[in-house]
Amino acid sequence: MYQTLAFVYSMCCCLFASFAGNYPPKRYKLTLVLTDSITQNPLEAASITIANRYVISDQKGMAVVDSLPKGFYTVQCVYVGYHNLQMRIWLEADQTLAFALCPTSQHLHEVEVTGHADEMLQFAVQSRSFLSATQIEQTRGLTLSDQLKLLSGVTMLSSGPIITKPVIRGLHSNRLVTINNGIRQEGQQWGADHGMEIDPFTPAGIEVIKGAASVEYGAEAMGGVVKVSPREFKNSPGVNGELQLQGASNNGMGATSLLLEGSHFEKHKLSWRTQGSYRKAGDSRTPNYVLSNTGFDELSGSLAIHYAHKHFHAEIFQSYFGSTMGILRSAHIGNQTDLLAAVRSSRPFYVAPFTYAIDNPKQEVVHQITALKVYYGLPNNMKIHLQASRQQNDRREFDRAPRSSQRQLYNNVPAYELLLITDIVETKFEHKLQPKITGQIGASYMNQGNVTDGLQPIIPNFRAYTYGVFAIEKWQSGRWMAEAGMRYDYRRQTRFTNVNNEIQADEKHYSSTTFSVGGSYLISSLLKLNSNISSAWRPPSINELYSYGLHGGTATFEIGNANLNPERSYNGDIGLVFNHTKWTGEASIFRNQFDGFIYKVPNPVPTLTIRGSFPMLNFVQTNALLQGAEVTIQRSILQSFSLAINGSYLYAQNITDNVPLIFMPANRTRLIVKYEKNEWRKLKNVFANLQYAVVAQQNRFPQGLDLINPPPAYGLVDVNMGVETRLGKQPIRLSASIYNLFNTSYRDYLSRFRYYTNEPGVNLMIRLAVPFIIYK
Amino acid sequence: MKKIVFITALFATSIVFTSCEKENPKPEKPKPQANPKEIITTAKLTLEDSLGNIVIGIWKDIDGDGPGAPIISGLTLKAGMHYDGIVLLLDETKSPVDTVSNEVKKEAEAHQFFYTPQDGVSSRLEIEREDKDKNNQPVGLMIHIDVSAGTTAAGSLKVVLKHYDGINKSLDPTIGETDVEAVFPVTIQ
Repeated sequence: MYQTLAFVYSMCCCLFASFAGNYPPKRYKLTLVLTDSITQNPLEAASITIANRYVISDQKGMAVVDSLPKGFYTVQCVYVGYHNLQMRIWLEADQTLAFALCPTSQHLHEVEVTGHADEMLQFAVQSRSFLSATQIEQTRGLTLSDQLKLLSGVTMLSSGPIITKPVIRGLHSNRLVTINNGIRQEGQQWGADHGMEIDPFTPAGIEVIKGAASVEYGAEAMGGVVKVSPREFKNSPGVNGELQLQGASNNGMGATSLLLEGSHFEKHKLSWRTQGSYRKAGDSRTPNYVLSNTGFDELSGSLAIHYAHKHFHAEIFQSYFGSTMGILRSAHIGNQTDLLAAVRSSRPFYVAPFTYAIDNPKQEVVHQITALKVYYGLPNNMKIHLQASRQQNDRREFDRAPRSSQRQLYNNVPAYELLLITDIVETKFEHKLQPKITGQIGASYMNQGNVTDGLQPIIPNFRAYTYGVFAIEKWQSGRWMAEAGMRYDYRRQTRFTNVNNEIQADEKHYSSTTFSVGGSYLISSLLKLNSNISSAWRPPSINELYSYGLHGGTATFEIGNANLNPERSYNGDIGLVFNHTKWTGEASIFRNQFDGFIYKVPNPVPTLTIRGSFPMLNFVQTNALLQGAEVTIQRSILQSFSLAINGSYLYAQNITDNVPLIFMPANRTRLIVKYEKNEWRKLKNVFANLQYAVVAQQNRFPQGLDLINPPPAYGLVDVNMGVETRLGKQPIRLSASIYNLFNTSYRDYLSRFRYYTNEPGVNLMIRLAVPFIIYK
Repeated sequence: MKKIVFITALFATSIVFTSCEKENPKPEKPKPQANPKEIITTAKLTLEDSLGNIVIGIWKDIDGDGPGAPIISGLTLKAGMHYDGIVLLLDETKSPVDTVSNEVKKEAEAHQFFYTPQDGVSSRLEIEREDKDKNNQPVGLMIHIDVSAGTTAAGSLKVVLKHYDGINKSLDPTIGETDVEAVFPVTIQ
């Protein structure tokens, strides 16, 4: 009896002793050294957060965080004038890490945002969201706008499955500015059916600024800015590259891209990067029928060369993007009677077997950019930037011939051809007035000319000169940050028409002052509050002023209004960001008030032509209010799993007439279950996620203005997975996605083709990336 | 020195790139509006009765898709009469005037006219399309109209031309793309 008790007691002691060995858990010390990535100077008074701790770097750029138990940590370093840096590290011993922060003048740094989509404690007063290189790669093959839909507050306007544009808080087209490699992308962005002209294989980071941002980005940044950044230049000597291959089942898409990059010399560092991509796809398919004539053919290439010596950097950049896109055959409508018949039919009128052939109606776009960027660092953290670029956007839209006898003419001559050439020169001077105040002042010049041609031109020739000057100052001290900025823009725009061989020039002038004021406060190391008030403007676009004609295939006659005034908006935004070890999230509410919001209304009297009657649309202005909220919450479960939910709400109203604004995105939510593991057996960076997105029915719309009511609510399930492994000695990255897993039939309110068809059905996409080294 | 060489090289490269573009037309010198495409401006319905009298209806919109109002002259028909008619489609923006209906006739398999009496004359007119294409389907460039006996009436005749591009001709008037939808006022005396 006593022997048994003694045995049990000693076993308990052993057990207790074995636990005691692990308790209290060992603690480790993490030392961080922060420097400027260009000058290598230490960064003093940078803010560092790790777990729920908050420290500030000293004169040597050093900060120490001790007593950290073993585990995964997200380290965030924030310093005004630099891109925030966030790194996910595994700590199981005392460690010293050196972090180099990149000045904001440089393009996005790859390590800035990891693939974990955590919300960051940023010292930015506006609502900003990021898609990291990893997130972009995991969704590659979708259109750029489709990729951006992952971010709350961002939706998509589409003209068929391949022509898409992003919508930020209900605003799109010429109420958004797209920045491509630091250059303002200028094409015919006023067109709702003009997609984004960027090679989808090139972005390595996409930043979305939500809300009015005209102070820094000039006219048209009313809904926000989409900043697409390419891969960073190679820093270490050698030449390497990467080959990517992709396939998609729904439209039989095959895509490939080859990237080569190199870096040479030490003192006069010369780095370069070149990339060529080709994509081809056939018709998309809905669950019930083929969307005939929705194939595309795309060829892109770019070359960038960077030279760096001490404080001087220069980059030249050349890119080419060429795409041919089919326009859904069934969306080509004869007249209003035909449109009504199409709307009532359950099936599009033209459905042919799947093909890769692209016939009229179609779009052909070529976009070329040539740019030179120069950057010079002066003592005391001052920097000068100079950028000069020329872009050429050549857009042709081909229509369908009404009779065989006209076919050759319609195949050779586009319905319209628009050649837009834009020269932009920008300069910026960054300064540091005191340790706590940094700022920038800048000036920009844009010269844009458009030449129209074709069988039925829709907009006239014009020349526009835009001048802008701005100043932004930021003050940061401890937990506070404040920012204020102001900008003045002036535009002189002249329309040229040829009337009986006499050239007529109509000149218009527009000018505006925009401002922004904001602040950010770190309530605790877990919680940050930011708010800002800003204004934005945009002069009326050329189609709003001078449209005159049937808008290709939409059975509507549009008439411009040469007396339109510029739009002005005043935006207020409050955001909360929290970052705890297990919980991260962000919530923001906004209010965007418009003076002179321009939109189209049907004239009560339709136009009568020999083809029948067409509703006439006139451009008018009204006062409008857009307000809403976005929430993103993520919780990590165990070590590898996480659950995220995001949602967006929008209320858009025409205040003058007291009716909802037309064509505004419905509220939506997305649920994501994620699994991520750094290493699993021989596989690295394993990830898998299941997503469920629900889009509500838009119940807020003006009655009687549209041919059909908004479509019902729908839900879509997507599955993604991927892994990094080796084929023999060759590392490869493999991923697969299944979009619309249950082959759901649905229509979306922001699809211009919802009158005719459903959206595409299930799509299986497979991606392979093969990095290789040519020499070190 | 090396820095200057490098900068010059960079500028030179960028100049090379910019000068590689073709000679571009300038917005300040717009070309006069040419109109090579063939549009239908006029639909002319010519009817002949059994006595040899001619009745003509014209539907003309010279600015094509533009907002200018059309000029319409209607038809005055006699009750109890029979008429044989042809429809002509013209492009009067061209010199000489282009007879588009000749092209329609050549592409008969891809075209079909529909005639619908409306309002006050909807029960008074019986219209038959006389001509057929090589698949024995109706075309409608030639018609026969029977006007029933009765009191005076006023209404209209809707003339619709459909073309079939890649799809089969159908007797269903909602199928196909509409090239002409012209409504002629009709008076029966």
